[in-house]
Amino acid sequence: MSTRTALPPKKRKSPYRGFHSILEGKYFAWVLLVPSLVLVVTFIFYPLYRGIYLSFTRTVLLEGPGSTFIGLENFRQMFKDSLFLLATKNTLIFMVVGLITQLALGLAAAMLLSQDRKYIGLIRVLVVLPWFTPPVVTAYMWRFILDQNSGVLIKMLESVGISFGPAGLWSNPDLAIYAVLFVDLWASYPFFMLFLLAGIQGIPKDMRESTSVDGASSWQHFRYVILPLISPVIVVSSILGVIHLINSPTLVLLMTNGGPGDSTTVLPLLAFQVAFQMYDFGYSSAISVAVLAAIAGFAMVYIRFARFGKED
Amino acid sequence: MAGAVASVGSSATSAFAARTNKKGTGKMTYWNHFTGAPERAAFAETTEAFKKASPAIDADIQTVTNDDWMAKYIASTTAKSGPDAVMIDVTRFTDMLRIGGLRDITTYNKQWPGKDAVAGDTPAFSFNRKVYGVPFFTFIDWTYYRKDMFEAAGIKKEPTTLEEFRAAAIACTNPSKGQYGFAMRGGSGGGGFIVNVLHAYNGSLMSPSFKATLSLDAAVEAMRFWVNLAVKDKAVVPTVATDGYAQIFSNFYTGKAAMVMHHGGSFIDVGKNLKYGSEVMTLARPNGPKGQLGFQAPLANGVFQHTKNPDAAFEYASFLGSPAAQTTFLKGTGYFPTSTDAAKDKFIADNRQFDTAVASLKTLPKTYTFPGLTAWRDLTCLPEFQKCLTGSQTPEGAAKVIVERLNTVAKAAAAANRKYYSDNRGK
Amino acid sequence: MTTTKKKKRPISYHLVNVGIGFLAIFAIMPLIWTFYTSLRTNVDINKFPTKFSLSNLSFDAYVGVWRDTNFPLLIKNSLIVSTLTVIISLTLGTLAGYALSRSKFKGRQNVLLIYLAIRLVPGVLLLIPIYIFMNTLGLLDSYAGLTLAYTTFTLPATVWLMKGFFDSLPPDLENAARIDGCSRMGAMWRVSIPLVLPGLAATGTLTAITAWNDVLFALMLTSSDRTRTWPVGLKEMIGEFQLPWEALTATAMLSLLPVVIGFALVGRKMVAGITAGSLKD
Repeated sequence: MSTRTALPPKKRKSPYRGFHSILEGKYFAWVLLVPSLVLVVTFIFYPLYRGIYLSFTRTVLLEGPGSTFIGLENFRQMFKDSLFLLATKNTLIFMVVGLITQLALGLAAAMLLSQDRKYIGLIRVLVVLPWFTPPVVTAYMWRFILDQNSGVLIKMLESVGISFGPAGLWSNPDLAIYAVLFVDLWASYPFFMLFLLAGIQGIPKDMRESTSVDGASSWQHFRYVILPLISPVIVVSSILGVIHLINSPTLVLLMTNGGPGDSTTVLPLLAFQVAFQMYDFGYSSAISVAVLAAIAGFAMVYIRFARFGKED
Repeated sequence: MAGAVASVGSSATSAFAARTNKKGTGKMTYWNHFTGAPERAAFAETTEAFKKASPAIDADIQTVTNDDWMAKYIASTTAKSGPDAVMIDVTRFTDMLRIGGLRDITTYNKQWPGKDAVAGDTPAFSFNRKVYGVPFFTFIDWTYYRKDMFEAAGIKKEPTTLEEFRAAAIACTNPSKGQYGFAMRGGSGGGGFIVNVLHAYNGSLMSPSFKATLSLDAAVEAMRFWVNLAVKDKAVVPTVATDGYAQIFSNFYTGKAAMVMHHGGSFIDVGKNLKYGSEVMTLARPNGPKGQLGFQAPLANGVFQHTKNPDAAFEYASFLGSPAAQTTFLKGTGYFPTSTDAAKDKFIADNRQFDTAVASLKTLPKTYTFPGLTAWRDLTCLPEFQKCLTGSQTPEGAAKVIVERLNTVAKAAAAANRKYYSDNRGK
Repeated sequence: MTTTKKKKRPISYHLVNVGIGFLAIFAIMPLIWTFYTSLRTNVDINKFPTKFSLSNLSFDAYVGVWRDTNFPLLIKNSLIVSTLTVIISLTLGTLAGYALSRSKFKGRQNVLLIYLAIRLVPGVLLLIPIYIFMNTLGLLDSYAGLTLAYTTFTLPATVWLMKGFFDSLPPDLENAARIDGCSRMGAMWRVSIPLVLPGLAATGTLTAITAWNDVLFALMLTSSDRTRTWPVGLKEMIGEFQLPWEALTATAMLSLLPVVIGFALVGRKMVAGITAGSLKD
């Protein structure tokens, strides 16, 4: 990296000449890509192969080692399994409500934080902090704040007349999932905010500012000028957000573990339970593969909308 | 080397072990699922003693949480590489055995002089006449009650039956003061209590040949009793559906609940918060129509199937089975020893609260262990019970689901058992 | 908009301020309350009704956590693994990002998607295969194994962000250096890298925090305190028997500390960097 690289490549007499000429040539990109690609492909290939293979087998560890090929039986079983259907419903609620709330608050926050104010840089950093809080901390912290006996937010809500009854918020099968969604909103909306803020800041300044202070036309400005310009960012961040909402059950796992009853069981959690508590790796893999296929569907949408490398 | 062995005066059993079983050397990794500070301290003390007794073994004591235990166990079994010795919770024993990570230690055990002292609990970790675990200590289920709340409610006689327990719980309940009779565990870990109450109303739930013997009528009665304690009598802390270990004990310590049920494992912790004798008492679990509400559940240590160092692994497992190690744990954590020698320790004789344990040892049934038990308990019994608490299920409906699921589990266990016998024939 | 510009601000200006204030409070109040709780005694915390008071506060819980747990060792492990991950992930990711930015070969978008694919696979499918994989490599319960896993899982973000940063540089600068006789790598190293340093810092922080916060892989791939990371230690300490609230909140705050310090150092750059880099695909 010292004096040699300063010389024009052709004059060099380096033992690595072949390597250097590749770097100068047409295929230099592949040389640079190979180390990281090898790592990613190795890590992804075997788990994926094993997961897809197991999903077509009956592999119940309690029945002894080995797998029996059973074709699509696991996938057929899913549609007869009421818990799977419930978990699918919960996953959809989690995805749709989570996406709408996080996107809406993220968009509102991005609009607010794109304004010029004193200390706005500092405030942006503060607002993003929850996104970087370890999920373990987020989960236990909010369980404490929303604890029926000593939770400060519960007491504050009670003082303004909102009560969840003596059994509390977490014992309520209709509300528990929304409680987790609320915590996920706190932790995850800054992700949308960051992306959308970037989108808004990419808009030229004279177009960004509404020329009128009148409320209706501000809205129209947002609706007809800002929104169309940032819609690609909205699409991209939504899909990444959906992947996160579906694939990261950490908060559900730590806060409700699927309860009370089955009311907060989501698909990845069910896949965990089926594998590590019922030891049915065939069925668990089938659930995961189904989830993967669904998310991959979203990824296809991603390709269509984001159009990588379109600029050339 | 001989000098090192001779220098250990206190742990005679391990010195004996050296003469019969081959003495282990080298690195030995052990997995346990103890996360509490007193448990860790007791492990640190025991490990020091072990290093003195077996200086040739480099013991590495590692903790894997209960939540992640089976995942890591399955991964190591699949990879054929993991620890050398493992802790075995009795309710998971058959699961762990079937998954294939436990080594047959019958021969080792036969040659171990300390085996007779723990022989009472060895059958719980044996299958098909093969031994897979050395008993460590046993969890004896009991009840704690607050003297002040019992006195305020005018309860003179300690409850001995489920009906008396219910009456006492109702008598102690005063919602306007935020006081309830019983801190019921309906959240994480609450499934064990459903198994308890089903047993108390039905007697044995599963025959040794894996035939489910839980009748629907008994299950309905059991579920009605347990659910109604919360729903109809309202004698239970209302957050029951989400209350795990930490919550029930917090409710108990703060005077929100008069009674709490757990096992002897919480003995030392309770003593730190309330004074035995004047503030808190231990009490044997109440009797149901067909059996007592609770179990004695031993814990053992076994040898991992794919270990390269079984000698050292057994040496460690048997060291934990020795009276010296068990006494350390008894004093540090209150865990009741399985060794009849350790049970003679003055600590137990001097401590009136342990009378409950000593008496319960004679009456409490041994806990179940059958393949699929933990999944049935945690993924069927508990959610169904929680649904009853939140009103989305009836006790009758829950009982039906629980019985049906147990039948399915039993059938699968029986089928797997036949396969297991034919696979292992001649081995 | 014409006359009363400076003197009297429109009501919307103040509404925006209120909104910004609300966002800041929403973000940090839970953290502040948790910090406050960690300073109280358990008796006060459980007292009914909850009272706010500034008396009786102490750092006892922190002292207790520091003294009675493996906190210092676990923090050291987390720091080592996070640092190694940042170094390796940034090196590989920068090379890949540069390649994807400068070369216009066909199938480039597919390569970008391969990096994303690793994020798509549900965790339950990954756990056992990765354990077997690491066991085969002899990397179980080692810094190297954990670093390798984290490097792989942070690569998508690193590659994408770095590609964005390189895209945003004017190509003329590098071309000029090349004409002066610099090799391709020389031009990248001397011209482009110094210009994307803020972006590099931002991406590095993001990578570090991802590695710092992970529980799933750390649980599976480590088992001894020699290599175990802090969030796993925290989860283990809470365990099924849980800690008293003040100890729990103190440990939570301690594990947040490096994140806050990291933020204080490069937070603004990072937010600015991520917003600048994330869109230039």
